Amino acid sequence: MTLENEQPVGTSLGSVEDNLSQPGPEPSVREGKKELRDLFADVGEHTEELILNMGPQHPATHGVLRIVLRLNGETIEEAVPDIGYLHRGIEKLAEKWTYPMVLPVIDRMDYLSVATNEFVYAMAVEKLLGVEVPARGQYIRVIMSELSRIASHLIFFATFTLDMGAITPFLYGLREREYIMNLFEMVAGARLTLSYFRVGGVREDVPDGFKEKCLEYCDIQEKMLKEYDQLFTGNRIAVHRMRDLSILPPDVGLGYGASGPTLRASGVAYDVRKSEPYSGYENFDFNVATRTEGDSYARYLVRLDEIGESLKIIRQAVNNLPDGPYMAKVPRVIKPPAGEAVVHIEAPRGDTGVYLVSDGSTNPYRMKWRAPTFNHVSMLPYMLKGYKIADSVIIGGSIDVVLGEVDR
Amino acid sequence: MSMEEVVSHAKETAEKVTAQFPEAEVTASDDGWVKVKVQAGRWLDLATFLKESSGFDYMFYITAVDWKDHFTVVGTVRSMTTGVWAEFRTDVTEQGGDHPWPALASVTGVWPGANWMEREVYDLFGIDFTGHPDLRRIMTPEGFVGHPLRKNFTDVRTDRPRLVPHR
Repeated sequence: MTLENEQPVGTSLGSVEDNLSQPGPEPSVREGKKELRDLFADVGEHTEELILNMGPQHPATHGVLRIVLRLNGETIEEAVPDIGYLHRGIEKLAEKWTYPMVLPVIDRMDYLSVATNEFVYAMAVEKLLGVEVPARGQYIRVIMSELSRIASHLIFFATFTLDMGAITPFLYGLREREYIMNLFEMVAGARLTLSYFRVGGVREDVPDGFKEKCLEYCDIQEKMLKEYDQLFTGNRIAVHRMRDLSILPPDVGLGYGASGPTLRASGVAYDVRKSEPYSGYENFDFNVATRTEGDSYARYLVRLDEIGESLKIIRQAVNNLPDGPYMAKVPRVIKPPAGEAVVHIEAPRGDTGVYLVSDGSTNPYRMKWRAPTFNHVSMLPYMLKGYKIADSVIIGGSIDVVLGEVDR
Repeated sequence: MSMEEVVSHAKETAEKVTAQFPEAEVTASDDGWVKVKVQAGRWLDLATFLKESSGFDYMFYITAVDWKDHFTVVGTVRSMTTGVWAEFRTDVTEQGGDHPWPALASVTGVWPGANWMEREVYDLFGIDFTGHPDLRRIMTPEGFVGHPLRKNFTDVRTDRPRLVPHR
């Protein structure tokens, strides 16, 4: 090729149609040249299976979850989750400590939604003791756990979208969560691990000005929910990425013990707040967000809808906050009579339960923590099978795993 | 559904279970729970009966309690159609001879969610589940010795120094 034949740069670009109508290179040019597939002619169409180790130190597995994948090309043939990297033996520790001492450690179970952890544990001890929480205490508990639910779903929104490569929603989600963290700081003094609930009520009353701050936050969040929808929910690329991905049939989900938004996205309207109301939830007017598609997009939409429903509950609870004591009369040394209690509540991730056995001493004899995401992670081999490896982080993100709760 | 309906369903279920398992202790409580205590040999039969004939489709948990002379294995399930909860339990003891571990039939075939629950009970309590497809340790690392949630458990690991002496 001589210098004269070279096209001058940037002069003859022409229109798109002109470029398309240009004839391609002459076939004779390619004669005798090897194609890529010729280099692998001896292999043919056969591909070798590949074992890929995902995690435990992987940014998209949301904690120390390890999944061993058997791949055929890009398709997942088999997925084996391996958990236990965050096992701290909290159930064993609880047996060595007194009932109130266990409560701060319970915060470390599901560390993104701390108030609901304390809620279910306090309710279990109260059931053993036979203590009734006063109305003001119940309402404050509801406000705190609903704020926790929104904070947890915002983290879901932030990290789930980040898994798909969208960075702006991540910043949006964390920005609104900051309001909730400030509210927590105002009430409990801590931002993440509150230790605010007590057996019989809550530690202290809400401070002056909390009501106004809370309602102000509700207005901001409601406005931002619309913005999330404009930014991401209706995004064509995002919808195509999530729709029809890992459809969970309701009967399979129930057999695995799935609950919460993961189950409600499959059309089962099971919400403990409605089916077995606790702590005054029967007084509030709210809907159970349910979808019937059962795919990753439905799980995403259910969680976003739940933020709106939680805002409704918070508004009602704050506006109708009853007067009176926030703490029941509880003996100084908590020594429940021998017996058993099973208590479960609707946590952001699903049906969280505690099975507490007392032998009449000051320590729990046995505490079993029923974590919803433990069941969801056990479902991963079913959910990942047959999908592409690039979708595995989306499927794993759509069930909203928190490893602190899975490994306990 | 109202609480009265749930309680009446619970009573119905209790009668059905009593008819099928005359030797079991069955109670129906006022908050919609059916509690069944059965012999270890009929564990799988009871689980299959609860799932197939009474519609208990939602797996809540399976766990165990160490009572020092025996273990109690407890399972809890819910029926999504009637709203009734069922708790079924049995006692197992350590056996002598060739198979010294307490053992129970696995219910993984009935509820797939029982798979990991039974692995956890095996790992932390040392109870074997016969017929389990994949009975491995789940919480503790590979090569761990002992079953931590047993009351007589002591940590025998020597590879890591103890800063605080074990009490």
